[in-house]
Amino acid sequence: MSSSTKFLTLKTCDDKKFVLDEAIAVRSQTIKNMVEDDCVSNVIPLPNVDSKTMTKVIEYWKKHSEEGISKDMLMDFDKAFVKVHHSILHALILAANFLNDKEMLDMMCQEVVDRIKGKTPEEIRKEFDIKNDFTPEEEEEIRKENAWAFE
Amino acid sequence: MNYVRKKSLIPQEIMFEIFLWLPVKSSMHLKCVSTFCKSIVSESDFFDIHRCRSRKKDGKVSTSLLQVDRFNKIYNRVRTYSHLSSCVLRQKNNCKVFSTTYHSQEGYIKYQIFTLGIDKLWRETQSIFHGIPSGSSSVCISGVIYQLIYYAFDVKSETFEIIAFKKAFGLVHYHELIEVKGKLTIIDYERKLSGYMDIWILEHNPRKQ
Repeated sequence: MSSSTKFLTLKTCDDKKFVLDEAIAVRSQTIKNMVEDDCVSNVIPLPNVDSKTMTKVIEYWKKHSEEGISKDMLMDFDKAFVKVHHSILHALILAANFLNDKEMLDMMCQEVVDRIKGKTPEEIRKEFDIKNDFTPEEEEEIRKENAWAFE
Repeated sequence: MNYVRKKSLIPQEIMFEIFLWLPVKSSMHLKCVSTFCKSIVSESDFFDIHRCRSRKKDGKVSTSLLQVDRFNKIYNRVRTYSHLSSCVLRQKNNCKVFSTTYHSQEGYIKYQIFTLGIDKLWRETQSIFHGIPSGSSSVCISGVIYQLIYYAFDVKSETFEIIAFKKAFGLVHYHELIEVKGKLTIIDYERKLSGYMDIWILEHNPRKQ
């Protein structure tokens, strides 16, 4: 088996290289397409992903490719994996989107949903560092429109 | 500047997904966060997609945003015209709105009920109760609407009941119903001319849930 193991080199936007088993790297549909279309030379550039984020992504891919890992263990891993600052969560969503890993993207989005649930607009802004760009009049108008949701 | 801000944002299609996964109330809150968030919910196909998605596996339909949109329109109207007897009852899983509209030309009163999460359209109540002057005073106390002359409508069970009082109150327009600490209270203006005003507070509400 090991003789057929192929490795791919991924290069992030900050010029860091990651050597990865192809069987793991093809969790990314984007990379898979490139491999299948035979347009992989030596190095696959990932212009939208930085090394810090890629390290996290690879950590996730490796864990989810481990043989004989139990569902419970994976769930615990996922739970801990998403408990990151929103800026990292944000970077991971962008990376999962670019790499086209639906499973990972769904998990990250679910985390965002969980963080929004049950919060007021002010709390949501604080959680995600979003600037309120409404004029006070506009905000009042939207709140009025949906008054029942704020009582 | 604009480019930098856009770059740091989550792509619109992903935000769209996130919105679709949220419970309706949360997505209303998210809508108020920023103009970007609002623009997503305002997209024309958002309602349709949300409605399709809100069909759960067990066949039950959860609240869709289209319903919320309809609900908002009526709910806000109900709040604007408070002289119409109306009531908003918040229950465990839903919110129920009762609205009375007086159709003066046809000379009848229409009672409508909308339950968010259950009803798709406003439905008219079965027991249409005739003969209530539109301008008569009404008050809503914990989900029961009391109106002169004298009936109570329990929004929860959607049933009417006539209330008998010990004192016979005369002309409707001399009285007003208000709520005092959760208790039904009648202000009697009949002796207004002599400078008096009687206030009757009912110790126990005639209807209890």
